[in-house]
Amino acid sequence: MSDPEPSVRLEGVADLRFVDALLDELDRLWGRHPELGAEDAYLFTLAVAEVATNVVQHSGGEREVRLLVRVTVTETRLLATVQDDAAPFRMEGIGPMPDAGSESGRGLALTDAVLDEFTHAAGSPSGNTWSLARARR
Amino acid sequence: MNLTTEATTGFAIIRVSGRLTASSAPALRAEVQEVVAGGVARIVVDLGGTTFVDSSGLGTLIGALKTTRVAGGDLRIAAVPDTVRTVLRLTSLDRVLRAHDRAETAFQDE
Repeated sequence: MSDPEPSVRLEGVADLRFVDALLDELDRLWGRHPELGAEDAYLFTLAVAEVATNVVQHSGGEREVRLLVRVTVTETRLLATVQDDAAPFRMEGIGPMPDAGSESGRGLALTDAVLDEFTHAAGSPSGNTWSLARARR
Repeated sequence: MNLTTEATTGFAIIRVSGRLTASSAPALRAEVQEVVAGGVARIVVDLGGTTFVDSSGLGTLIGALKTTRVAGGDLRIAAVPDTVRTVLRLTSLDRVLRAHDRAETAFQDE
């Protein structure tokens, strides 16, 4: 069975304003799904926001990077894809959670910890697609 | 995100309402630095009105903890929502950022 149409589709320039707008959209989406557990909604929002923020933080080059985020709610799972048109991201595996004293580097480790599936595919010659899934608890 | 800072006897309370994320965390960092520069190195960050914290927000809390300790003080967090507690546990930061029930009593053990 194919997945239903995305419940949220947001496209724009990869900057922190985009991430804020994405968080607003996700708040509205969860408002339409009161049956969803608060922890599922929170942790999935966190994962999507971390991936989008990661794109923003790696897009400091000369060329503007664009992002397309799609989020879908099914009866059993929360799904998202985050696509950009940046240079292929060098995903060298997700490292362990940094030490407690570290001020950065937790984003993707935290994302991986709250998801059941988290994959990255680099496009050719450019672009990246992250696929995120969390089973509803 | 909105920040309100309240000076009490011996420490300051910074209340964070809304989302503490990559876009808003620099404002909290600046506020902590200003409070410490003003001579108050014991700070409680009240998360009772905080709806969302991402990894940048967590990193900022760790940075703020260091800022207060370098100045001879400490930073504590209070009124932490359950969802944020889960994230603190997943990152093991619950070991260094101990959650107190209420901001007003977070320094009472001293």
